[in-house]
Amino acid sequence: MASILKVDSLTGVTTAGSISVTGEGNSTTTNLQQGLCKTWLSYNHDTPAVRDSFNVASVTDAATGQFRPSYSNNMASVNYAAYGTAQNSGTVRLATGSDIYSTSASDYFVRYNNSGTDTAYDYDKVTAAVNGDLA
Amino acid sequence: MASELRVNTLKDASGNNSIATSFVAGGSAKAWAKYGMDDATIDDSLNLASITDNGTGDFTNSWSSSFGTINYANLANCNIGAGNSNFNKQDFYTPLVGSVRLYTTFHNGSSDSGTGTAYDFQFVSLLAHGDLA
Repeated sequence: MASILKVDSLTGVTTAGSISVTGEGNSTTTNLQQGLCKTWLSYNHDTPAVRDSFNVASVTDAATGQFRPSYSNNMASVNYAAYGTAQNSGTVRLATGSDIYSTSASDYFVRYNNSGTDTAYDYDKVTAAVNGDLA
Repeated sequence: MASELRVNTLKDASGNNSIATSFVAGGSAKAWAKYGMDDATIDDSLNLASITDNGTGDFTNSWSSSFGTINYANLANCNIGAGNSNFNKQDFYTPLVGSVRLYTTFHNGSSDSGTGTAYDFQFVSLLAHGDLA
């Protein structure tokens, strides 16, 4: 029988910040809170604008090819995993290399180079995401 | 007291923002980690039992809970740190249900279009999505 749970907040019983979810193969579990993506961002760095986001308070345009998204709800520490990709829609110029890493509990750093010239470049389609522990 | 809730769908208290619990399980990252290849130290992680240094730019990441098949998705991002202009690299994987091997190479600008140089990066962000066993 199908079931629906209506709730605004999920909290663990034994530990408030830890809820186990049974894995797809039914033989192991994963942690709900730790498995959730804590922030994601779709960003136009060419004409700086946030297309859509989750848990992003603001984005600081640091320099050509460089920006820093800050969190609405901060991470617990600097030790989290950050990833991203960049693309230019007009010339299909993929980023040569990405330089994305955690800089603090309140923001992280994103940098890209142009694949043609290997110089800093403001891509218009940048995505970034973070996994880790919230404060 | 531990408790178990079996439910197909989650909604907010107003009955909106519905999401099937299959999306909660299927959409959650099954592993992530931040570690340094240079010092072979795990800073923080989910479902990463250990890392093994096989050589420069070559690390095996062993899961605490294995995946159901080898057909899971991996993503990695490797960095040296701020202020370094030569940060190109390539990452290759050999997934097993219990581990994945990460190879990283350093490329010195766009002029280096070859295989690059194996390199132990200071910052490694690793992510895995898929079905657990």
